[in-house]
Amino acid sequence: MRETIIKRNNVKVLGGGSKTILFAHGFGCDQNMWRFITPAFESKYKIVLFDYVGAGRSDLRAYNEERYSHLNGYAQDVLDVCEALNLQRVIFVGHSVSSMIGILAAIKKPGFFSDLILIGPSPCYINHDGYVGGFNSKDIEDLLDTMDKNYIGWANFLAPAIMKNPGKPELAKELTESFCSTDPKIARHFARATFFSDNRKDLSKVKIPSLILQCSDDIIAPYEVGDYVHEHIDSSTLKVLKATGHCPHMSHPEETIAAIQEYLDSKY
Amino acid sequence: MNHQFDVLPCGYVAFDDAGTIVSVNETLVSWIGFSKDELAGANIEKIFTVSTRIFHNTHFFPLIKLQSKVNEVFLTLKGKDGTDLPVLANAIRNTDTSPFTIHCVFMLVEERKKFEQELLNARRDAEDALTQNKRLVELTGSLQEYSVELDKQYRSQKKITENLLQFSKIISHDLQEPIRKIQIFADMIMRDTGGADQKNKNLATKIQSAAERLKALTAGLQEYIEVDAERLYRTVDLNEVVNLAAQKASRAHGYSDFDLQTDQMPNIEGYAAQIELLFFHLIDNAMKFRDPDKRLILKVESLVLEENIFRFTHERYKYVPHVRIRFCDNGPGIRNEYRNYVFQLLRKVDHTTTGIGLGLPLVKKIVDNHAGEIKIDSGIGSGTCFEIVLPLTMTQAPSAPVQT
Repeated sequence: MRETIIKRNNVKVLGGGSKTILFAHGFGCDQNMWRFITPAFESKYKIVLFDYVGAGRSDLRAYNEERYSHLNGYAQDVLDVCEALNLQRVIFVGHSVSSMIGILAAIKKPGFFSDLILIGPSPCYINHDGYVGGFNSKDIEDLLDTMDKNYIGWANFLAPAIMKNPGKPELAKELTESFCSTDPKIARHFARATFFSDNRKDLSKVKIPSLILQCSDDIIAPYEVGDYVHEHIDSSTLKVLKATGHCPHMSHPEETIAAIQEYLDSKY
Repeated sequence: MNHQFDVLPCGYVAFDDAGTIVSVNETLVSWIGFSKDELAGANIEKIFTVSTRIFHNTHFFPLIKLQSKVNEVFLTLKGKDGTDLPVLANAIRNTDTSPFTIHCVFMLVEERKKFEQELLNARRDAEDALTQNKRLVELTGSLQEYSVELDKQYRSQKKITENLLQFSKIISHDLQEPIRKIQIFADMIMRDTGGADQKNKNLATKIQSAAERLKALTAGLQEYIEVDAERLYRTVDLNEVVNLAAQKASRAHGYSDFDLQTDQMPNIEGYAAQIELLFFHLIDNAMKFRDPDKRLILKVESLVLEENIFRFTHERYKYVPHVRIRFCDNGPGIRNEYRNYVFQLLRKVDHTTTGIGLGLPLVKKIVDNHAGEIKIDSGIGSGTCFEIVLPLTMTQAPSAPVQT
C-alpha cells in the first residue's frame, strides 16, 4: 500500500522536524509550484509534496474517470497519502481548489489534520442567487475551450509518446519541460470537477483551525468569496495579502511565507 | 518607443510579475481600442476575456514564472467594445531588468482558429466515439459477469436464508421445549422438601441458572437471525428512534439515571425496526458496562458527508450523501485490541457480566444490512465511541457515464 501510493502520487518528503506540512497543488499545475515556498520551512518542518493522480508525474495508469470527476476523489488522494506515510495532525497547505479538497478530507478524517492553510479558497466558482462566485457557466465553458486549444500540440505529440513508452527516460525529461501540461482529457476533467463544484454547505462542518490567505485582486477567488469562507468556517482566520493574482506562492513568495510563518509561529 | 516597434505586424505588451502593464505598441492598441494611456499602469487582465483570465492565473502565469518562456499559447483578448480577439501568444520573462519584465507578442489567428476549431471538433467527436465504444464493450462484458455472479449469489443466498429460517424454527420451538423441561425439573428438585438434601438443591440452582442463560442465548440467536426478515425500508427519524431505543433500554435495565445528548440528526432511509434495535443494543451495552461511580452520559453526534457507495467493487466510485453518527459513552472503555473482536458472535470481553455476546454482532449486521460501516474508538478510561456511517438513501441510481 505504502509504496504504491508513494509512486502513484509521486510523493516527495523533504526537511526534518516532528511536525509535518503537507502541500497540495491546485488545478493546472503540480508540486513544482511550491518550490519558492518550501525552502523556508525545511529546517523546522517535515515537508510532504505530492501530485494528484493525473497531474505532474503521478502514475497516469491509476487515473479513474469516475473517481476524479468529483473533488471527493481528489480528497481520497490526500487521505491516501496521509495514511501511506502514517501522518497524523499535519498542517495542510492547499492552493486554490486544493483548499476545498483539504476541507473535504478534513471532514472525513479530522484526526489527520491540525491546521488548514487555504490559499485563495473558493467553495463555489459560479454565481448563484445572492452568492458571488465570480463566474457564470458560460465563462467556464469558454475556459474549457481555451484549454482544448492549448493542448493541441501536447495531445498530438507528447501524450501518445508517453502512453506508448512509459519507461523511456528522455520522454520523462520532455515531460518535465512540459511542466504544467497534463493529458488534455484529464485536465478538462479536473477543470470540470473544480469549476462546477459547490462545497458551500461543507464549510460549516470544518472543525479544524484554518488560515485563509486572500489575495488582492484575485479574479478566481475575489474578496467576497474569501469573506464567505471566513464567515462559514468557525475557527478560521482571514489574512488579506498585498499580493495580487491567484498564485501568491509564486508571484509573492516572501509575503506568502511570512503570512504562513506568522500563523505557525503563534502555535508551534 | 521608436516607430518600427509601433508598426510591427504583431501586438506587443510588456508587464511585470504583478501583471501591471509597462508598455504596449500601436498595433495592439489599434486591435483592442484602448488608448496607450488607458493601458499604462493597468493590469494585463484588463485586455483578457474572463476565461483567459482564469487560464492566465492557472496556466500562463505559473508557466512563465517557472520556465521563463511560453510559446504558442492560445488566448482570447477582449477589446474595449467587448469584441473577442483570438490570438497566439509567445512570451519571455526577462530577469535582467528590475522589476522583472514579461515581454509578450500576440498574433491574430481569426482564420486559423476556425480551422483549428474544426480539427478540434473532429478530434473530440472521434475521441468521444472511441470512449463510448470502449465503455460499451467494457460494460457489456462486466454486465454479463455481474449477471452470472448475481445468479450464483442469489442461489447461495437463497439456500442460506432457507437454512437460517429452519435454524430459527429449531431455536424457537424444538430447543425451547427441553429448556423448559430442565427448568421445571430443577424447580421440582428445589421444592422437594422431603428427599433432596442441601447439596442437591445447590446443584439444582446451578442447573436453573444455566437454563436461564441457555434461554437468553437462544432468544438472542433468534433475534440475530430474524432481524433480516425486515424487507421494507422507509424514512427513519434518527432522533425519534434513538429516544425510543433509550426508553426501552432504560426499562429493560430498570435504570433511568442517565443523560442522553443528541444533536439534530437527519432522516435516513432504512429498516426502521433494525435501526431501533441497533441503538437499543448500543445503549444497552453502555448501561451494562457503565462506570458505577459516574452518572452515565450518552452523546450522539451526526454529520452529513459524501462517501463512495461502492464498498466492495474495486475501482468503482460514486460519492453520495451519508450520515456519520458518533455514539459515545463515559464508561470504562474497551482496550483497543478488542476493536474487531467485539463484533464477532458470542465473544465477550468482560466475562463477569450477564451479556451473551450477541449485541454488537447484531449491531454490525444491521449496519451491513444498510451498506454502512461501523468502527470502534475506545481506550481504557476514556469511554467508548462507535462511529457508524450509513447512506442517507437505500436506493442509488447507477452512476451515469461521465460527460467529457
